[in-house]
Amino acid sequence: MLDELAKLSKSPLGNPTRLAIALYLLSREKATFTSLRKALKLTAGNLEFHLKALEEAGIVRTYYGFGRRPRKFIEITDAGVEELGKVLEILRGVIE
Amino acid sequence: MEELSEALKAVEKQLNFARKAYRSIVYLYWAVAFPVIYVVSSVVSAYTGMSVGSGLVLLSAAGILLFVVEESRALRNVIRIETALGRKRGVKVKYLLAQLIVWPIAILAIGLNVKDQWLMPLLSIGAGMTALAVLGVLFKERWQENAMVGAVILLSSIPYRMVPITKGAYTTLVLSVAFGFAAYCSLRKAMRE
Repeated sequence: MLDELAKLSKSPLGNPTRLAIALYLLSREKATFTSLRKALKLTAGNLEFHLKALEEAGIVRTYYGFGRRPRKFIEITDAGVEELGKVLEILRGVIE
Repeated sequence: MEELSEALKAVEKQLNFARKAYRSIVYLYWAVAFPVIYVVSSVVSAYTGMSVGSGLVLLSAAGILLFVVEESRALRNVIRIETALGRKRGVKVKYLLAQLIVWPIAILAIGLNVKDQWLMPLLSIGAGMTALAVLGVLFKERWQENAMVGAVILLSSIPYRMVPITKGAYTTLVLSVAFGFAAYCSLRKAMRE
């Protein structure tokens, strides 16, 4: 179990907030920065900080879309899905 | 540990629901698309003088193309969720090919025997959906919703000649009801699980 927890701590999704962001994005094609912030009850600065870390790790991708005003969109990448699968697998292993 | 286990179960349940919701998009799409195609063709025909039949052909082609795009996106999301849940399955190429082959066969078989402009698409789609259900059973894939759509359409074609509304409107209503009903059942089942 300690080995598994060590693996988890090394993962970019080892942080609960980052895991919640990835899970939220997985069940949607994409999310706007505002919807993600409201859903996870985070401050803009806090979300920005975690998104930056996730983007650097290749877990999420952010881009700007144009409607009435520019909006920031976030989506999970294929690598992010793979990583999320691994983390859920580790968590299942810990429980069992 | 118990809290973690509960949280993980809740996450898996939510992802499972999302997966099933994406899978029901096919039924929702056609439940909306059939009436839209019929109404727009009728309106265009009224203002431009173009025949309703030509409008239907053009809009149906556009509807099929848009459906391919929508279905690809939904399928991509389903595969992603299954990957995260550790239930990644390979794409069954034979099953996909069989699904594609079924449609021209159903349309050809019905088209050669039924000449009515509106009964032909009704029976073709009913037969096609029933054939998809059979393929689902053979390939051990989901088949219940397709069987339901096929059965509703084929059963509704029995009183086709007796209904007191226009045949085009009746065909459109039947198709929309059949696909809408399948979407409703599919989502209700997902919500219960």
